[in-house]
Amino acid sequence: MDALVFLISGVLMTASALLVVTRKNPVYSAILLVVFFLLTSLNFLVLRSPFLAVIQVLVYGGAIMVLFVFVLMLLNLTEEELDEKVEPGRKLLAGAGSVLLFVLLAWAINSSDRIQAAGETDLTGPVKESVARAGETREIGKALFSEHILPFEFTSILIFIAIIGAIYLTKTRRADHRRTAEPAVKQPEESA
Amino acid sequence: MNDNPQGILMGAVRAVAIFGGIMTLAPMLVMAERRICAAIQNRVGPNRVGPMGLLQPLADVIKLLFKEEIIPDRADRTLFSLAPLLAFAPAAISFVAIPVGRDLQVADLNVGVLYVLAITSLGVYGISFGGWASNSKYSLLGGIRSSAQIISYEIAMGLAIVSVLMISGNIHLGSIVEWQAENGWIIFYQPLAFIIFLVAAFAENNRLPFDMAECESELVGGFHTEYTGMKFGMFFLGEYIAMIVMSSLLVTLFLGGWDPVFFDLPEGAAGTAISVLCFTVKLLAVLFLYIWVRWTLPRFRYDQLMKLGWKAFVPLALLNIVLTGIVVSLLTETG
Repeated sequence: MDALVFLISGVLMTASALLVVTRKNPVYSAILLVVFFLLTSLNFLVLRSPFLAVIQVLVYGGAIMVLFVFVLMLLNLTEEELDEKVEPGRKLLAGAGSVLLFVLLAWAINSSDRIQAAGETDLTGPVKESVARAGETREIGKALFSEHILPFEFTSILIFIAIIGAIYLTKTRRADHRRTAEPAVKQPEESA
Repeated sequence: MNDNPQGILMGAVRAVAIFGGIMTLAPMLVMAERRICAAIQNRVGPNRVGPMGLLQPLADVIKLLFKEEIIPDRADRTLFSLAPLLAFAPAAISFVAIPVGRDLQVADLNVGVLYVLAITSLGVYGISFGGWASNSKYSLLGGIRSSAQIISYEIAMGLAIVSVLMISGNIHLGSIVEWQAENGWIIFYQPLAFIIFLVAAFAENNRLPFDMAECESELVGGFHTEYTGMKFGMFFLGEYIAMIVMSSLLVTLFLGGWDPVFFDLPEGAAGTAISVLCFTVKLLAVLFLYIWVRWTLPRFRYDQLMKLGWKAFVPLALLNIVLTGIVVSLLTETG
């Protein structure tokens, strides 16, 4: 049952991922990326990690991609802008880059100790109690705030820096805008 | 995972019963809205079709079904047709985790609260794609406004829920209700979170006083300006179902869910029936509040709405979490 779900979702995931990069209209790419995220979340469910599955939908599907779609809708590219030709050299370079990334990731995952250990464990029997519970929200919370506290705090600092950066960028632009806009607003008042 | 055939059959029966329930409730809600609005405005309201006008929702649906479907020439046809479904489906799917009675829900999920939040957050795509695909400036502005509004208030709502989870110590919706049956409704422990959640729920559903998405005086009809017939009907139905889901979540998290307060539930089927009744009464009360507010308060301006969300509700909700954390940790240390 689990293997069947994995097989079907795996094929669909690969298909949607390919469609994301081949669509001409970025709005469709965004939708297909959301489909991809939903399928990823399905795989987390099969792996008995309901918390990760829900967070995947909530954060990627419901928050990050909404902002992407937002920007795409505001840009609202026309047909001519979408038809812009990309030089073949750049396409080749991008393709080579993705293949390299794929090989590196595959090698890194394959050579990790945990994966090698998992390859030797017997997966035919019923799922071990400790493994089945590892995906539960309570267990993830405990692990985050004890075993992995340092990376967790580093991530929050990273996000904090990004927030400050975002506020700084928007604030300075608004100040410039006001300075240039001021005379135009004042003029009619003086004439009246 | 439940693999025995009887369990799957019972699951299917529950799903059909509960889905049928909300699909019946939604048109009745439209009817109730029109009648209550009429009462508030000193009018009579629809009273021609059937006894006391009760068959009006049926007439409305038949009218919508037989209306001509018009797709604008320059619209993106695929997305234009897909958008109403994208708005309707998440609202209907998210209802499965809500416990409508004692041990009665379509799917008993361990991550209940988060599931409902995650699925409802997908509803924004229907609105924004509907606005974009119509290729009309009113629709686009309406779609952008409402998606900005929904993602802003989702944050305040999520933070308000966090303090509820800190009190009850569980994210499983059934357990939260059981906690309230033992210790009293969470609204008394978390009045601030309740107010934030209530207002955020109005904003999430695009209801007055926050219905910026379809602000008639500025945007004609907002994101569904170009929609007719059943496609418009889907948006309309989705909106009312989303309203029912939000109210159910409110009842479950703050108002004790299916707990009857004054007496203990008897064992067996009778107890379950009473619990469903209690839940329905509370749900209808919250839905009445929704309608009452809509026909009483004027619309906010868009900048006021954003200011309220980001500068008042988000900091208040964060403060509430810190205070709740201090109180909870003090109590658990001494007790």
